[in-house]
Amino acid sequence: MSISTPQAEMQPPLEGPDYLHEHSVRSWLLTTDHKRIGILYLVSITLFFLIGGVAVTMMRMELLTPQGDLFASSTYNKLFTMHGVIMVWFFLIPSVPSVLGNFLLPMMLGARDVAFPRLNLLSWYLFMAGAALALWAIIHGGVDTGWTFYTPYSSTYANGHVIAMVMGVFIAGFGSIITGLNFIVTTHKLRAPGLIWFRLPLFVWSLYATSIILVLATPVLAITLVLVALERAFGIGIFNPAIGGDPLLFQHLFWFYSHPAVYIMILPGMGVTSEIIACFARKQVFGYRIVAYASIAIAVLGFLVWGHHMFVSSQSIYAGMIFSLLSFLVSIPSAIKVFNWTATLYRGSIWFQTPLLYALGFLGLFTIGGLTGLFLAALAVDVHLTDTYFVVAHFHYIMVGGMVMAYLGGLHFWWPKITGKLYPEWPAKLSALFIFGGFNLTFFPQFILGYLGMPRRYHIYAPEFQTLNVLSSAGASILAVGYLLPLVYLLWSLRYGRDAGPNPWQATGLEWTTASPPPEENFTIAPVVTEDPYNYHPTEEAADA
Amino acid sequence: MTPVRHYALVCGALLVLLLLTVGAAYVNLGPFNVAAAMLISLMKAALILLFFMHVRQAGPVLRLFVFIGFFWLALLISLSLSDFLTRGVPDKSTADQRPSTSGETKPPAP
Repeated sequence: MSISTPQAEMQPPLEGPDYLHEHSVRSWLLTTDHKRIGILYLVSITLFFLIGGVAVTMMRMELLTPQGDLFASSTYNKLFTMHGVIMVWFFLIPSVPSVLGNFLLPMMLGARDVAFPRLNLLSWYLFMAGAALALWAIIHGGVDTGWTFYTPYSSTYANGHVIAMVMGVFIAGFGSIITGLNFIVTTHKLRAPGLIWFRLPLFVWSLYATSIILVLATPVLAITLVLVALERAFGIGIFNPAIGGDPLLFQHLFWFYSHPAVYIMILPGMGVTSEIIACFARKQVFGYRIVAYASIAIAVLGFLVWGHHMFVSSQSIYAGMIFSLLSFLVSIPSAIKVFNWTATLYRGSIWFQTPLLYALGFLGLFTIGGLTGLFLAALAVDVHLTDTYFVVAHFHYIMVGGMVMAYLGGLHFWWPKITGKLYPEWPAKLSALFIFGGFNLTFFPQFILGYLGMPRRYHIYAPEFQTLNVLSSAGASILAVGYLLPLVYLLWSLRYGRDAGPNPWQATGLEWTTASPPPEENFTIAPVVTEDPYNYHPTEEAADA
Repeated sequence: MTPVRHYALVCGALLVLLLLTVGAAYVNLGPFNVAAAMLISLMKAALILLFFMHVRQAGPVLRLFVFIGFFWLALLISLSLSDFLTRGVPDKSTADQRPSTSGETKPPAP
């Protein structure tokens, strides 16, 4: 193995207690320690992931046959709404930023905590309150609007607890805004001496870009959802054309948030991938500055493309052309990242540990997801593909193939830091392979289904689509095993895993200079940064040295 | 000037502007109704930003973030208007070939 130079001096061995030493419920529920708050998020989103997973398991079982065998149409509508709402707002959006970001950002900056620790705890409570309200709506009959809440259906015609559901998302959104604000201020104000902007790990750059989106976009979603609730409760004509509103206004406002939300979901995943690839290729990230700028460029350009969700919605052709062009532009910084990761891997000393398997999975699946996005950004092709399974496959390649792979890769990479324990490598590699294989078997047939014309959100379909649907459901069962395995062996490692030591991967960031698990104050001696990030030396250089 | 007096003055100004908003609602200015209401709202927002939110004393980074907030609002409005203002504008190259909504076929253009 090659050598690496951490960005600062290693901390002295930990003599006092670590951040996990208190066990009472009170110590968890009233904590302001960013690491514990990260773990609160980890436990909560794992729960929501399981709930969203149960919904989709039932959907995939229903889709095994072309008839509606298991559920009535209205139940199926509620299932996909539940799956979408929970997975987007209560799993994907908080996954990397709120779990790994909360845990790691202050440590990567050499800080004791985030800038506003109490607000940080408040963000978790808001998230949980929003989730509780959404779950209440689900338990009391559910909502059948889809996760997009399109008007005037959601504001006027839909039965069910739309107001409770949108208020749940509204409240959770404030948690997002606070987290974003906290991360921006922390990055500006709490960097260790010597940690200039271009010495920051790329994960911090990606969290910063994500935070910009969280702060600028989430308020628009909040306003939009309040307007839906107002129209629904009081009949104020905002979106319903029958009472003087404009339904496309909803779509403009909704996608002004929700398209950037895709980047909220993918940008932190890109940051995780940069960290993992540099560490396990034992190389500097190729074109560090360009990758950092690309994160900001994605955050900015991501705000200018929302109209590509509306090409067939009677949006004007002129606006469609502008949004199509801008959508092609946003692929440039994403492509830069993919090429730079590939160049980083080139002639690296590759160390095939589990996090790298996930990162490589991310690289391939994100590329497929991104390239099929270009099909959908093309005005004419989109007319054929809108609202088909092609769209479903495309965004799952980004959100699941991309983000969930990155999240699991990051969780494995930093698990030794979070818990102080090593997970068992063999089952971890197996689960990464299960997830990669299962994912492709689930979603690649959906590209074909969509291209052949199967619409999304239908549970009764033409018989000729059955074979591909059966393949997709079979893939989903493999995927489910792949997701359950980490739950088992990561929990197992808490008790039986080997001690990790401060830096089991010989990685370079500040978080690896301190003990695992870290002390409550992160560092016993304030770190002073003296090195650029990713100071890895490939084997031949090490031998020369 | 003490801070309390300072804030009280701004608060007073906001209340005067509120009265102005209500008063303006009773006067029919024709096409300028919206413009007048928006102008008063802008003045209120500026007072809140500069004094209550302390932007007047803020450093360059905070001012940049305030500017970004407004710039993003402008993005939202302008790109939404790029749709709204051009809806129904026929595309001359294809308008003649589209079937009419009544189901009848238009004769081809000469």
